Amino acid sequence: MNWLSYALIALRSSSLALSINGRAVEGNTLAALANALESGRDVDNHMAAVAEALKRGDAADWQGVLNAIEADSARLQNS
Amino acid sequence: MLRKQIRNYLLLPIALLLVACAGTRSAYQYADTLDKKAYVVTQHYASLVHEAADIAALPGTPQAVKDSLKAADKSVKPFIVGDPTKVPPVPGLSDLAASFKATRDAKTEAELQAAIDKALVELSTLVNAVNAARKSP
Repeated sequence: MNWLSYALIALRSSSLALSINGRAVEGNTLAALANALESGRDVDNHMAAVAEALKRGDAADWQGVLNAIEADSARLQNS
Repeated sequence: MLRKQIRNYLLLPIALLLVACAGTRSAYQYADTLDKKAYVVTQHYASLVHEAADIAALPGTPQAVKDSLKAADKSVKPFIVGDPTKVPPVPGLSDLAASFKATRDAKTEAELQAAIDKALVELSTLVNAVNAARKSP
């Protein structure tokens, strides 16, 4: 586990503890922070993989990324 | 009390700035040529639109959030993949990067640089929409 995983566990545990102790506003703030960090991590992990591929000198996979864009954009527009 | 409120408002954007950008920052750093930069911008858009679609698919996502994500995607996409319906057709970053790699002349370089600049400005719309959607209940 990296330090972000520990941070997410700490945030979620603190959020739960605060909520149980009647401090719902603070608990919700920490939960929102954990959610934001977790979802932002997906984009950042994807970009880290792109960085690794560039570092290795892999050829750009234009067709793959354009296909993914078409599929996800259609999924979003049809939601 | 005031200190707690300030902390609550500052914690989220600061943490996002510090944590959520490391991979993205290094991808842009490793893009040492213009065609690689175009590829990284396209990958960045792909990852954002993937997350936007995931958020929109969640059962509790409010319609206003979905509409904002859809509008942001519609405005950014032509700057990334091009728009063949326009007259003359607008080339995508991949087309411009291929032209640049093939010729490496000043004209294709200027066209690709201008397209990347415009795409990055538009991409910030989608970044903001996804960031707002992440914080929505």
